[in-house]
Amino acid sequence: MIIHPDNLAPGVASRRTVDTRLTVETPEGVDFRFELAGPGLRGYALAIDMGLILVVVLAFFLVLSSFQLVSGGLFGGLSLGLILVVLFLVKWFYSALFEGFCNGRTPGKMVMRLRVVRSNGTPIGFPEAFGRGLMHAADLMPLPCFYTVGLVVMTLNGRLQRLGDLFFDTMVIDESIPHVQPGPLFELPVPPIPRAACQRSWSIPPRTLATIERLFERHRRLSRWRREELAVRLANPVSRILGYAPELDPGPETWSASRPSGQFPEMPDPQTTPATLFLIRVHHTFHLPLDNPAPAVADGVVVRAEPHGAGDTQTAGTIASGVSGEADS
Amino acid sequence: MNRQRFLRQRQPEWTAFEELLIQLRKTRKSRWENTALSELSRMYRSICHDLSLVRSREWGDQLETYLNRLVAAGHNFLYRTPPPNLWSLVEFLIIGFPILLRKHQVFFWSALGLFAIPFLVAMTGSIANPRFASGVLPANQLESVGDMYAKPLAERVDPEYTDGRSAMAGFYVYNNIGIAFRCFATGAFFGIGTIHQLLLNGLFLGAVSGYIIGIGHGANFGSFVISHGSFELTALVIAGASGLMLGWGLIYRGDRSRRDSIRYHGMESVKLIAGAAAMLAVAALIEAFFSPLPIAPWIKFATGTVLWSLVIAWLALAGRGRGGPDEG
Repeated sequence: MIIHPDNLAPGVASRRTVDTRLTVETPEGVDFRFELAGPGLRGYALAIDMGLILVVVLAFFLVLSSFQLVSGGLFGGLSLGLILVVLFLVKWFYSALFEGFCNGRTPGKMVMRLRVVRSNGTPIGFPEAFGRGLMHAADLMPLPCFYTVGLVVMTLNGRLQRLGDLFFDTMVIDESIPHVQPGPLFELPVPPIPRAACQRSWSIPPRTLATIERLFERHRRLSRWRREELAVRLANPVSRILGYAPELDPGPETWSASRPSGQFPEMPDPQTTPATLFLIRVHHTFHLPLDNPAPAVADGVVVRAEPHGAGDTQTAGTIASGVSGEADS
Repeated sequence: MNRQRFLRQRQPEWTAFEELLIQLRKTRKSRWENTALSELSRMYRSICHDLSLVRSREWGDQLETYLNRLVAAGHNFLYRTPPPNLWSLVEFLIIGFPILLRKHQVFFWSALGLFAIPFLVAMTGSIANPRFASGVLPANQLESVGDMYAKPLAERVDPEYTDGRSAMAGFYVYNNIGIAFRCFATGAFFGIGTIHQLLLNGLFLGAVSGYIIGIGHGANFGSFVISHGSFELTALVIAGASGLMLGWGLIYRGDRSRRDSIRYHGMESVKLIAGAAAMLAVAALIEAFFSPLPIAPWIKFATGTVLWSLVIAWLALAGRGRGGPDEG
């Protein structure tokens, strides 16, 4: 195995948790995956919130002082008092009110597509929002270097929680990752595997395709050399299943001369990364698209038993078991 | 059932689920129809089932992530916390808060000790010898505070009085509640921040009061502080108690797991600090508008005594016989 400098990129370091995914099991026994938001994204959200606060407070200040000019200075003390109260509210209740009433999101978090949830994945309530808002005072210490405590605490636990999250059992998740997209590699215009080149079988088990998908997933940020190394290990058994004979496949050769590489910088090269290219072609040829063009009503099986009374729990149970029964048969 | 047939059968329901979810999110809660809701929860359960089926059969990551996303959206929609309502907040502040405080009174008495001991020491020390006070605070600062209480705080009630007092009310809210919140938050460092704040506040306040009494302005000073002191000093000690409790969750986990202990103490203490903040807001209003009124000192002392008894009676007695709030 060749060790390439790219392999030593920090993202590939072998640790127990190599990414920021967190799995939470629901009462229904289903595993949820959450993408935890790191300090970078949360820092941007915080900066946006701070900017917004600054603008709002300044606007309030301007309105009050213009009002004061008109009324001739009588309300000087009153408006000073009001400004202090507004400053107080903004400082301590900004995140509490937004996170408590807008389902875990301040405007900054909305922009960055982050959300605060409980660590079991359920939406947070007002007490948690209020508490984690107060804990900013501890997280941003020591004062000249903002959020040192928060940063250190975040690195020390598996859920990237700052003190405010730890004490009130919350975490910040990143909802910006489009879950359905399998990654840019699968959108490349590669030639399909010709059937004539496969001498054994003409199908690939779905779990093998799933493995290919997982290997090329977008947020596994592997260098292309490392990816190729891994692809070789997968490409060998796949080509054995297919009985793939490269000499019967004119694809890569003819295609490499005319491939539009400038347009697609990610395009794997038949010379340097043949296994990657092969696997993408296999996936391209055999995978079942999610939005299946097949007709919706099929096989005479009615899935939704409307006549029995939609929405009845009993009905839901029987339908669910009906589906599973058929699946098991 | 193979993957293709499964997809054909189930996909209509997935789309229907997505559409229903979008539609419910758009409409207001009061307009939700019962049939739509139970339909949603039925579909949610069967999609949960689909997801585990897809997982166990390994029918592709794309499908799995798609269903996972659907289930997550449904889960987030169905498992909501009830929205906070105003009445439960009022009920908490009046009854729930004293009950909660008595449940965790260990922290209250500890905080009281941490505050009152340096306070008494500094006060008696400064009464006996003003030099003691200048060891705690710079002499010029002490003198300016002392001068403040040399004469009555206000001559008469006029627009100027109300105006200046409004500014002070804002300042008391900003400053005092801010201090209480910081006192709470720094309890996260194993309680050390809170202990430091309590000791320091006790020392400073004791030295200042002792100094003022020592130079002979005690009656004027006492008539000013006694009324709002009932809410303010008690709330300061309660804020300290909440910080101590927060830190205690880190140190001692009892028969909970560490994570649970931190969480439990966090959630309980945040309610205490919320109550303390409300008390401080009341104190700010009294301090700004009542305490400096140009009225006979005995009226203020009488009011102060009544307020102190009210605060103590409220915290000690409110909600007795109701049993504690049922959080264990």
